[in-house]
Amino acid sequence: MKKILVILFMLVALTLSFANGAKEASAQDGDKTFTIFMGYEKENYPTSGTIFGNWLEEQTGVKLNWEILVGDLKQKVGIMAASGDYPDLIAARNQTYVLHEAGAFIPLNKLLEEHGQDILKLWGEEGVKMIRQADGEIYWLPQTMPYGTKVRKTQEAHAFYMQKAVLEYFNYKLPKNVEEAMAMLTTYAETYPEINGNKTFAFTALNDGWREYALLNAPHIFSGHPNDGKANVEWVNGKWQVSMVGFDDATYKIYKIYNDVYKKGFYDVEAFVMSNDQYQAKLTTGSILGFYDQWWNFTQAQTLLKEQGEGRWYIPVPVVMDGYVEEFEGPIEPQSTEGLGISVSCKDPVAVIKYLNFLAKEETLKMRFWGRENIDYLVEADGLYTRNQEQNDRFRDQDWRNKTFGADYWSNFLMPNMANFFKDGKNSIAPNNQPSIYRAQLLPEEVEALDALKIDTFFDLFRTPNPKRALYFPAWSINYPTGSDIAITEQKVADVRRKYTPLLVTAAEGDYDKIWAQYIAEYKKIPKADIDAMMGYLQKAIDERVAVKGGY
Amino acid sequence: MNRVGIGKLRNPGIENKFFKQLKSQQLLLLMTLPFLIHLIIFRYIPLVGWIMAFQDYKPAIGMFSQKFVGLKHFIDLFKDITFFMALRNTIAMASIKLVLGTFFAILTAVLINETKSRSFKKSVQVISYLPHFVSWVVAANIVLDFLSPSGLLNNILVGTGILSEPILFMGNPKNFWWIIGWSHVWKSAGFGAIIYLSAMTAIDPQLYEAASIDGCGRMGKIWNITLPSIKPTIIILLIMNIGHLLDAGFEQQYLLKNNLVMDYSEVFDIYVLRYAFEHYRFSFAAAAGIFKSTVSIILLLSANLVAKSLDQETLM
Repeated sequence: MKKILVILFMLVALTLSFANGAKEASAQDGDKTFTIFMGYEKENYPTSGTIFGNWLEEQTGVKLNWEILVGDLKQKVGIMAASGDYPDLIAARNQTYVLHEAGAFIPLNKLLEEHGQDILKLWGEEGVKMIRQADGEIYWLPQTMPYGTKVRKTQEAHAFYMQKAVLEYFNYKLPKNVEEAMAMLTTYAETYPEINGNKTFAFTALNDGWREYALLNAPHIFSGHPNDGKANVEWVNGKWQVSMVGFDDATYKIYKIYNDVYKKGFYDVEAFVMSNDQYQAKLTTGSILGFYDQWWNFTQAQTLLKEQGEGRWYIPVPVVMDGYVEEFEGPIEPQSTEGLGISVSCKDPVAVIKYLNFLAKEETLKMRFWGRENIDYLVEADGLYTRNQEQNDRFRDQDWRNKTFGADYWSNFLMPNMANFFKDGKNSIAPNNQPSIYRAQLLPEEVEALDALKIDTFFDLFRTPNPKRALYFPAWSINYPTGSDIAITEQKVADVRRKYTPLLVTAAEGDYDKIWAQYIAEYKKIPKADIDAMMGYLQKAIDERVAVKGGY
Repeated sequence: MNRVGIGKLRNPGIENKFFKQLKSQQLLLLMTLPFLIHLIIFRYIPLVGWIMAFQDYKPAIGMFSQKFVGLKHFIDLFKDITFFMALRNTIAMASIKLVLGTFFAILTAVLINETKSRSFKKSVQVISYLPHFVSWVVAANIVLDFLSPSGLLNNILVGTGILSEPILFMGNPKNFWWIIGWSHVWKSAGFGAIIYLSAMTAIDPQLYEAASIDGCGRMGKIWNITLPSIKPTIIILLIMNIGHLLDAGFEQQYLLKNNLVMDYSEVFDIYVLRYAFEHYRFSFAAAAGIFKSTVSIILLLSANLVAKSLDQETLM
C-alpha cells in the first residue's frame, strides 16, 4: 500500500513539474500567445515546427493556440454562446452570425482604421461596405473576398459529372442538355451492364444529411441558375427577383427525367439510403456513370479513379434541361456573412489586429500560397511564377503540404479569392490556376480528354458568369435570424421536399402525376403568409446587397 | 402557534430511537453523502433551468433578465403535427424495443443457464454481449451494409432464389420500426441477459432437485422454477424501462434514418435536435424537455401502481 502511494505521489509530482516546465517555456521567449477556435474540420497536427508556422512566428512574435472543431459546429457554438466562455479569436463558419447576435465579438472599425490598413486594402472599398452591419461597425473578417477584378479559374464549382469512358464511347460529342446526357448514360449502361463486377448505374444523387443538396438542388441548377441554394434568383424587369425552389415547372420536369432513368432500372436507388462514405466507396468502384455534385465533395474518389487510369473518372459537363440556358458559374463570391471575429474575452485586441494585418500583406499571401522563392517556386524572366517537377510533386502531396509546409491552418481567413491575381496582374493567387503548373500536373488521360475536347482546362466548357449577379451573389449566404419563425418555415418546406423528392424519383409507371399532386397539396398546407414572409426576407436581403453595391 | 410547545408534545422515545439509529448508521450515511451531493448538483440544481421554457431565452443575457412569454413554447409544441408524429414513432419504437429486448434477453439468459458445458457457455455469453460494446456509429454501418441491395441478406435471399431482385430494406417506411427493434435485439440482448443470469445464480439448487423428484422435465423446471424466481427482477426492470419509454434512442435512429422513411424515423430527441437546438431555440427545447419528464414520471408511477395492485414487486 505504502509503495503504491509513493509511486502515485511521484507520478503526480512528475506531471506537475512538466506542466510547470511548459508554462515557463512560453513565458520565457516573450511571445504573445492567443487562443483561436476554428470551426472547420481539419486534421490535428502542431503548427509550430512547420515551414510556414515557424516563419510566421519569427515575423510576428505571435503564437496561436488552435482549437480545431471536433463534432458538431452548432452544438459547439451554442455552448460557447450560452456560457460566454470565448477564445480570443473565433472562426465559426456559417454560425458567425449567431455569435455576433450573442454579443461575442468586439467592433473592429477603430482597430482596423489604426492598425489594419492592409486588411482594408485586401477587401477593397466595396468589400468593406459589404461587411458593415446595421450599426456601421465591422464585427468579423470574412474568409475570402474578391481581390481585384482579374479572374482565372481552372476548377468548376459544380457540374453534371460524366465518366470519361462514356464521353469517349460517344467520341467526345458533348450532350446538349440533361435529357441527352441521361440518354447517353443509359445507352452506355445498357451496353455495359456490369463494370468491374458491379451493376452499372447511369445516375445517382447523394441524399445524406446536409449533403442532400445533390438531390434537392437539381431543379434549381438544371433550370439554369448558379448555386444560390436558398432560392431561384431571376432577372425580371430590370431587378433581381427571388422565387421558391422545388415546386415549379422545372422541378416537375427534372425529377420526371430522373424517374425515367429509374424506370429503366439505371437509377441507383440506394443513393436514398446511403451515407456519404458508402457513396464515396461506390464511386470508386467505377460503376456509377454520372451524377450531380459539387467538386470538393468527391475529390478523393476522383483522384483514386484518375490514378487507376481506366477512364472511370469524371468530366464536368455543364448541361441544363432543354429550354434553359446553362449558368453553372456565378461571379467570384464574397463571403460577407461569415468569418473570423475577435471575442470580447481577448485581452490584447491591438496585438491581434496587428498580427492579422501582417497576414493580409501581399508578401505574406505569397508565402502562404506559393512558399519561398527558389525553394518552393521559381520566377521566370518575364516575372511569371512557376514550379518544377520536384516542387509540383511536393505541393501535390497533401501530407507534406499540411504537416511540413503547414499553411493550411491559415487558409480559412483573410484570403483573397483563389481565382484572382496578385497585384502584378500576371500571377494567380492559387498556383493551380497558373497555366504552366495546371498543365504540368495533368495525368496522360486528362491531357487526352482535353485534347479531344479541344480545350485547355475543363473549366473552359462553362459559360462566363453573368456579371450582373455580382450585385448580390450568392443568395445562400443570407442568414435568417436565429430561431426565428422564418428559419422554422424553411425547415418545414425542406421537410416536404425531403419526403416527396425520393417518392417522385421512384414513382411507378403512371404514378408520377398522382405523387406530384400530393406533394403540392402537402406544400400548400404550410400557411402562405409564412412562405411569403420567408421569400420577403430573402428579397429584402438581396435588395439591400444591391443597394450597398450602388444599385442597378 | 407555539412550535416549542409541539415539540414538547412529541413522544421522546421515538426521537431517541431515530437518533440512535442515525448514530449507529453514521458511517453508512457518510458513505451515501457523495452520491446525495452528486444527485443534488447534477439532477436538482439544473431544474432551475426549466424557467427557460417560459422565457424567450437569448444566450449571453442572464437567465433571470430574460423576457417571459408564458406558455408560448408549449402551445407551439402542441400545435406542431411533426411533434405528434415524433411522439407516435417514439412510443412505437420504444415499445417494440422493450418487448423484443426483454423477451430475447430472458431467452438468452435461460438458454445460457441451461447449457452444461462451461467453455461453450462462456464463449456464447461473450459473443452475445460483444455487440453491446460497439458504438452505434459502427453498428449502424454494419446494419446498413447488411441490409443494402448488395449486402449479405439480399445476396442470400437472391442467391437461394427466394427473391428475384434485391429489396431496398432501408427504403421502406414500414420496415423502419422493426429494423430498429431487431438491431436493438442484436446489439443488447446478450448484455441484457447478464442481469437475469446473475438473478438465476441466486436460485436455490434444492428447488430444482425437488422439482426433479416431483417429475418435472427440463421445460417444466424452466417454467416452474427459473422464471418465477427471476420474476421480481423482470418486473423491477420493466417498471424502470417503462419510465424510459420516451427515450426510444437517439443515435440509433439518427444514424439509420434517411429521407425515404422520415415520417417513421423521427423520434422525440431527433425532433428536439432538428426543431430546437439546430435553431438555437433553447426555450422550445426546455419546454419539450419538461413535457418529456412529466410524461416519464407519470408512466413510471402508473407502472409502479399497476405492479402494486397486482401484488407484485415494486420500485417504491
